[in-house]
Amino acid sequence: MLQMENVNVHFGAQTALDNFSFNFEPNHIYSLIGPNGCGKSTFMKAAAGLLKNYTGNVLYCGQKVRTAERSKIAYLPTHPVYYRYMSVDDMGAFYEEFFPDFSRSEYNSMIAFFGLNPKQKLYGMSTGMVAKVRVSATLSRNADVILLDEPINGIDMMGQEQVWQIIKSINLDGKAIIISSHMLDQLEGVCDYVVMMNAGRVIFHGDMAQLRVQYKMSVSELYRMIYAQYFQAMAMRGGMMQ
Amino acid sequence: MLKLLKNEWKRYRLFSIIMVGVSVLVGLLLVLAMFLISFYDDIDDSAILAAGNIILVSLIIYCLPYAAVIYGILSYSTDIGRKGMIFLTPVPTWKVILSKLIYTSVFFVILYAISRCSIMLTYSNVAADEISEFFNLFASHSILFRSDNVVLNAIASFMQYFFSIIHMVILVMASISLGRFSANSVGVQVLLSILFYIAISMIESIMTLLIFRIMSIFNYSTGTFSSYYIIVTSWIGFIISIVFSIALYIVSVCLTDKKVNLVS
Repeated sequence: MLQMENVNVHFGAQTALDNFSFNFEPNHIYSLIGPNGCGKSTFMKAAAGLLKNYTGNVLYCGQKVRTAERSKIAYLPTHPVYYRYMSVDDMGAFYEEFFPDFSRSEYNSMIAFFGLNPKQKLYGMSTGMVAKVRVSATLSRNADVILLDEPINGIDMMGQEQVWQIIKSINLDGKAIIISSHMLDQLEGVCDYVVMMNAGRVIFHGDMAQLRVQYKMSVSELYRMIYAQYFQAMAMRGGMMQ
Repeated sequence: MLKLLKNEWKRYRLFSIIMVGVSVLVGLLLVLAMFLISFYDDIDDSAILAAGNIILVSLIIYCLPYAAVIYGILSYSTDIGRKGMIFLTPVPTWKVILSKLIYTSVFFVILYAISRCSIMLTYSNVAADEISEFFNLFASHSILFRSDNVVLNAIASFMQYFFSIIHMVILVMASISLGRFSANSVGVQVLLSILFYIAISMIESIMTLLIFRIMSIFNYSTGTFSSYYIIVTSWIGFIISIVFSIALYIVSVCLTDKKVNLVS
């Protein structure tokens, strides 16, 4: 469904994605994890059609992801993106006008679920409250691919549980949800597939349930083990070079 | 397109309403001032006209319609920044930029109309039959078109002014895009944008001057220096700015597409 074929992204001398290849299939909730600066957000932007200066292919259903494909791909960026004039209601109106797959009724019910005031201006809200509005707007789209970059940043504990509850309630039929977060413990209860990244590459991936059986440990523990080994190997290589 | 324009209106309605309000207020104050001055017998009409012209030209004609340019710059620079959510939508970049130009045009036309209406009312306070002078006043600003028909002269003047505003907005947009595309640091981007603006303006002026020089050589050889020659060279300058505007619009669209918001 969403295919990344040998995608390379560079920001000056820095490599953000290094020959990144992966095929995201429908009917899955993917957890995209990795240390800071490993290229998760860059992947999200590329998949959302917001990056143009890359090599390789970013394909949605075999088509190169361009502006038009954004109507099928919902993307929640890490940082808050909204216009200053907007109230909670205005945000819904904006999405309704520009995204044909947006459901206003779903949005309104999510806003009510979070206990937010629809008339309140976004710039007067806390980071967590704005995050809840943005999550509601993104998840109210009936998009085939949903990209959530750090969706629970700034949201309180109860709110985080509400976000996971909403994601779990989404009908996955023909859809792929990709969530980037550092809260792997929480992601384990939501996602069914894990993709681990480092230095712009996929270093490990697999079905979460199978991994738990195979390695006889939680995916969080597996993650710690893999990265510990990875960094140890990197350190040794660095030591040998010196 | 209507959705985009509606979004622009929602974003800038406060700014737009304030600027239109200020234009109306200044216009009414001027009309009132001219009306009051007209009661004094010892001040002759030419003095009133002179005073009126100074105030109108400085406050209304030149300053207030430029609010449309300020809108264009603000709207574009915000959208290509990290807060611009319009580029998350499936709307093509050319449409987004075009909507900003349309909004700029409409905004400009409204401000321009208010300023011209206040001139008309000001003249009508001086003497009813001098309303026709109104057309002559701003017909004199146009060097592209001159005829005996004052209405046609007025339209030419408006078109020239209108196009210069649109051209300026496109030039600023392209300069911002070029600056943003050439550097990562915000400070350097701003500096480069200013340099690009100056450079493009200079190239355009040099091209116009070159043609002007070529034309003047031709005119000297024939031994005539007519108003026809001035109009022709002005038209050439005008056409060059149209060509530049189209090219800069394409540059803005391509660069915005290449380096849209959210990308550091």
